[in-house]
Amino acid sequence: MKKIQYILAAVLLASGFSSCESFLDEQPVSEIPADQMWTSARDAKAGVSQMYTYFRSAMRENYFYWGEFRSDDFDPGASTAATQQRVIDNQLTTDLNCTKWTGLYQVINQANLCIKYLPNVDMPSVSDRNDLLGQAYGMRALAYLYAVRVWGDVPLFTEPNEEYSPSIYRERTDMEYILREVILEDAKKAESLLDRTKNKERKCISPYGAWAIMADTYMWLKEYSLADQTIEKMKTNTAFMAFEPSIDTWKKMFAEELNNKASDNTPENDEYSTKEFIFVVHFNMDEVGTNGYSYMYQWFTGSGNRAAVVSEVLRNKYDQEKDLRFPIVTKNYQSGWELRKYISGDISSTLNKTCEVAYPIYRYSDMLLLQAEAQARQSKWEEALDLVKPIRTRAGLETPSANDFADEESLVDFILDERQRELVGEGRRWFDLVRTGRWRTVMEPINGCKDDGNELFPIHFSHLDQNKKLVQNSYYATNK
Amino acid sequence: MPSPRRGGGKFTLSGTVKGDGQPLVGATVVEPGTSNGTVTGADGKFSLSLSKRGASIQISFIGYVTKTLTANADFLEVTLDSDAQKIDEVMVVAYGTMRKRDVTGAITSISSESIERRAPSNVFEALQGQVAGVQISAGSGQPGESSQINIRGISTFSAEGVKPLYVVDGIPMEDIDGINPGDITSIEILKDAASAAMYGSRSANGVILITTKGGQEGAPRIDVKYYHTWGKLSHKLAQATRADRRKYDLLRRKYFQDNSVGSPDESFMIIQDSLNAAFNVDNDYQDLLFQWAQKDQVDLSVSGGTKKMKYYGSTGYYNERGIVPNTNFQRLTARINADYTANNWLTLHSRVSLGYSQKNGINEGQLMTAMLSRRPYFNLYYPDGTLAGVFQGQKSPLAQVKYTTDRTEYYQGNLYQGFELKLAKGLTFQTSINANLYLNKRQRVYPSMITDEWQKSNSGYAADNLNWNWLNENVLTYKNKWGNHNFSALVGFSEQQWRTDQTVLSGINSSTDFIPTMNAFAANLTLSDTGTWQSNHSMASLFARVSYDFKSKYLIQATFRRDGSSRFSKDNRWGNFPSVSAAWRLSDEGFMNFSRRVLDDTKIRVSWGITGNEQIGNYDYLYSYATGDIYDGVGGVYPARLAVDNLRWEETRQVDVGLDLSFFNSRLTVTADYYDKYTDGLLANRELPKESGFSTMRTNVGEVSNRGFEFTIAGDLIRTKDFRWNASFNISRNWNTIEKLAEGEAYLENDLWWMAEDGSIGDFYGYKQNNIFQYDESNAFTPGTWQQLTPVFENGSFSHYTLDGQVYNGDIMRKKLPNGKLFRGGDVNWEEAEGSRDGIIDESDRMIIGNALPTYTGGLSTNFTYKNFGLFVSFYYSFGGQIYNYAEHQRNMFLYSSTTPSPHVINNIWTQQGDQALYPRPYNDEYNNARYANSFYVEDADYIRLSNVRLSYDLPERWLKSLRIKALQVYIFGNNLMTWTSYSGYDPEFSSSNPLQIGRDTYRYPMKREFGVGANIKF
Repeated sequence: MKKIQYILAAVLLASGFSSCESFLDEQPVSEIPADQMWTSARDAKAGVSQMYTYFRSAMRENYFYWGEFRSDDFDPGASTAATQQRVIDNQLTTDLNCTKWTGLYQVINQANLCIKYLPNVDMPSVSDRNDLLGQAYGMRALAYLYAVRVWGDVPLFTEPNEEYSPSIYRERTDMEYILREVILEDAKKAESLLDRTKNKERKCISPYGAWAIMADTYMWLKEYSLADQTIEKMKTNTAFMAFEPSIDTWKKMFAEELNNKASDNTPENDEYSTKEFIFVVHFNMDEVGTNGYSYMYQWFTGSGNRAAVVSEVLRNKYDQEKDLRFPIVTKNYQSGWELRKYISGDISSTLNKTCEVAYPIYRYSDMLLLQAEAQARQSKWEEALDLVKPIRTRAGLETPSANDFADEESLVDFILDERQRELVGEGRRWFDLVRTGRWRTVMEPINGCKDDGNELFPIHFSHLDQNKKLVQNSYYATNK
Repeated sequence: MPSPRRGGGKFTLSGTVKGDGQPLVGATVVEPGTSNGTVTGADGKFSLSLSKRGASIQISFIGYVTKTLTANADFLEVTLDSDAQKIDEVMVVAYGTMRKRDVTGAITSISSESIERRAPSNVFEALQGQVAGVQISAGSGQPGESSQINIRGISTFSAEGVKPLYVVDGIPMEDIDGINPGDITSIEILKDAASAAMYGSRSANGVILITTKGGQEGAPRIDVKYYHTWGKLSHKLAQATRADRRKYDLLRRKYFQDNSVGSPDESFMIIQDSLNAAFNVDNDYQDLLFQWAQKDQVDLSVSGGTKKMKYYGSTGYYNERGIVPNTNFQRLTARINADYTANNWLTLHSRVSLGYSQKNGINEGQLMTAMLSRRPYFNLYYPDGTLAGVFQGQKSPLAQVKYTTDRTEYYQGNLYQGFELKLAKGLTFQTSINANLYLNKRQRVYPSMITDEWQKSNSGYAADNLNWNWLNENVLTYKNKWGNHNFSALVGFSEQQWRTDQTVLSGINSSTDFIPTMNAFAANLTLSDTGTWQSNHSMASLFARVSYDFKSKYLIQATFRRDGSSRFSKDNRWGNFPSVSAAWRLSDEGFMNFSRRVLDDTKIRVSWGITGNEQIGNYDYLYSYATGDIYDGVGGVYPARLAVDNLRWEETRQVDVGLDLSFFNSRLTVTADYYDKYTDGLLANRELPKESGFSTMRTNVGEVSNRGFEFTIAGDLIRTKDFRWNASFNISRNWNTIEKLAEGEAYLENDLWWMAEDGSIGDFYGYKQNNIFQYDESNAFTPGTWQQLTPVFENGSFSHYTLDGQVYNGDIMRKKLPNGKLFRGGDVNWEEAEGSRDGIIDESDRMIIGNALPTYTGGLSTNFTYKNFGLFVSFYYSFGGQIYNYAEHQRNMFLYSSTTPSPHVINNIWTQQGDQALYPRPYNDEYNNARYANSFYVEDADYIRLSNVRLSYDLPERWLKSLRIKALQVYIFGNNLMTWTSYSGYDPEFSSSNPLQIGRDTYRYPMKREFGVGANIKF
């Protein structure tokens, strides 16, 4: 009888002491172990898709903060939009969210992962794999292009960070080096890898996206001839990429084509009926969630909350009687000139928090005007004006001839003004001002932006706290 | 009284039971081995029918030594001895019990009596202020909100790891919110490493052992308890009236016009429109929002048993409605504890506890923001009488409260089955299995009305969290005694596994606002948030303990535990947690004879041990990929974290030296402890440079020490027949130091807390505000020493400077932005950090501006009884800590015209040259007067709180007898009656979920002052 107790106790004790080790092996259930990732076409596609998600979050606010609010396109809107107002008024401080580069470097790390692992992924189609790899190079180039345009020199990572090491603390790398050796080289690799027949996805990087990034970079490097040649490459397939000559189509392009585009996951289908978009950041409420909507409505409509209104300076640059774009671009509503380029009617404010208007990053007319500028810089005045002409004609305007310009600078000014009118709301103007060195003359009378270094954004103070190797941009701190 | 028959057969015994010269009410009188028993009534009287003359009876009462007598006479006068000497009183310790006088570690025990007189709604309220070295902060005043508890300072950096381990009836628990305080018979707090190290890797922050009530042999005892309370907002914050706000609007308008900035007319149109009903009311939002809170608790328990079978069953219902309408908490709990002695070698212990609770909450932050900043002159109602949800971009606090659905339901089940086998004399084997199951279901809908002005988008969210774990424990115990040598040993092992399943559905823009469940969102689910997740965690442990004492004079104990956790990589998986402790009962030595008449017990305790912490994410060491984001219809995959394969246990070495003194036959007791805790390999989220592509990583970031002392004194000050008065006071002091950080690099935690070697947890880091420049010319300082000069004006124009009343003609330094712009009148005069006195205000001028950790905390409680009346009063206090009043800073940033500052601000802002102001210009520009953090918003958090007052009356037995009631107590009480503090916010007491991010007040749901009545009835 008594034996039962001893047997019971002994069995239980013995069973416990054995095989504890395997009991403690818990593997993640809802995560992919690192060695199981990057093995299939699905992994490859998912890894690439993530770059765009990161880019969408990085650009959601900063599309305007970085590319346009600091320019002469906008005046402050409602008093509730205090942060935008500070940026528009050149009151930048190191605690603003738009001085953080967190989002861009998430894109970069994800692109670095893709670049490292995609070449070894076993995929049925090599051209599909190359296309994905090309997108990764393209996105890395684009993310760095934004970073250097905003902060100048930035830390450089071309390998993914996968485990902690002191090498994640880096100094800033020279902007010129990044433009030439990283962005340009990446864009070239993207050009060679992307699938020119099957990749017709304007919501992702297509071969046209790679060319646009390349051309933009050449312009920053003042390599005008190379920029010119790059843009020329975009003119071969007019069924996909072409100038839209009608002003009605122009209006439709922004107010309808960008809005509420279904998510499709089929790069070979071109779901756009207009031909100008090269790369847009796609917004879809199912994907972005409650607080991830596009700001195209909320920031530009309603006297109570709009972030900015079209500036008087810009309005005066339009021939308000004749320019067909003017009534499409802006409307005086609730005592402010609202940017209406992306909106078809007045009632749109009710849609603020469900806005699905995509952000155009590059557009064909943008490229044509860049090419015009490049031509002008190569003393090809007539050719330059020929490129500007269709855009002016579409807007119902005459185009002056080369004889009307006294010198190259005034021709370039004319092209830049046309760019400003054509591309308002497309996140380009501030970068144009910085690239061409015109920011001082244009902005000083408006908001006093004139001192050396003020053309760069400050780096957020937390970045400097977290990495002691970083040095603040000179205008915003005393660097000892 | 019927006359008993002589000889054998039944007879009735009567008598009185006394103790300390007082009749004992409620003492148990039983005939052992039968179910026959009774309880003494008033005056300690009892009568009991016995099977035969000469039967033995047993008399017991809490706090007294149980006595067994033979019933020969008809009438017995029994005097029980107080067990103040309590030679055999036991205390619950890890994996067993121990004689209280033989304890060698630092353990504090709380009895059910001292829990019940506080009328607590949860365990934390029961403990607050009672135990030296245990600091408890209520989360907020929201019904159903949990509290934060720290034992001997903050010794860990990770949010999950700061909680102590809760062990309820031997079962480790994830949380104890679902436990009805009425079911508890005792709580033991294991503070030092030697007491806690038996729980190894989960004991670094101390262990709280909770023992629930069991049955006693004898007739069934039925207890019914009920109370009701009324609660009210304890105090209002100063808030701008319509007139204040209009003044502010006009001041700002003038400022904008004078300085050609901003939009001068932004509010002007509104305040000029004197006929518009929408703009012309005067709301006091706090009066409109807060209501009288109500609380009910009713507990019913039945207990009893025979020699073989003992049971305790209870059920409790708790219902609280908060001071904010539509916030409430209900809890229904049931418990069955049963112990069955099957035969002479086998005993079964069963514990079943079930709970259901429901919380209807509110987003505290949004509500407080809406309440404090909404313009007081905006109407809350449309002309047709309906509530305005969002008006002019500002949410209505009333509408938020009325229309939010945010309900969480908690289902909880704990099952335990233990077997105790007596193998031989002194040798026992115990094995048990238990399972804990928690299911939390949350359902939240913000209808379109309170989402935005256009009432277009609503949002819904539903989450189910299923958390379950099982544990098997096997323990072999040996106990023996050879003469004066007492020896006991224990060896055991356990296996435990946890599993968490989560289901989330989230959506926007459902077709209706009426349906609060997620079927309404079928067409509008937010795909990237929707999904199910699962994660697992397991642990295996071996443990042992040996203890020995000689005559209870020299005591020594050693423990050892080895834990393996799945949360670390193979190489770092196992950790060892040893401890040793010893005590010397000095008072039993011959040379102490001289003092024995005064000092009856003296014990010196010394202990050392290592405790651990493994509370991190389940897979934090693994490099793996997560999913969830979608772009253009393709789901993305991204690295979940950086690989940290050298992640290891956090270990705390702790030394404790303690002294227990007892004077005048235990009328006065003193306990004092000194401890030194050193934590190595702190697990925390370290901020990574964002250019790495990652935000934080979990790592062993450093080392931290906590040193301190604890002192408790308790005494029976008066002990007479009718009047008794006792009091107890405790105080503890803790010094926290961050000893070491990985790579020696200081870092900023969430933009406010500076983590640096030789610093302390809770250090606030930011800019120091000296004053507001009165004039542009006030920005003038002497070179080198940076003494501020005073400008002198003649006929309205600047003439010269003075320094200490003397005309100053020396060089002048001015403070400026990095870009060279000089600070102006109305800007903040920021102090420069030493070593950065260059006149340029930038990030290098940040410094430590305060610390959130209190230095002294403790409590005082006292109890008076006079005849049938009792009065209990308790206080607790906290000194030396500071609060960053973040909510007030947010209100005063002058960023948004819609935000309404407090009247004090409106009356003290700078608007023009010459204003002597406390607050800067009412507009924030690149000079960034709103910069964060600002020393101006660091406030002292010292407070003393009168937490409980309770007046009770025990009804005389003669009134109750006819009602078949054994005892009835009625009482009135008040909780949180008074707080003495200089803090300007709602309450200096609040908690944060992250131990590193403490003391930042975002204005939580405020606390209430509570008054109640109640009754306890025993049948």
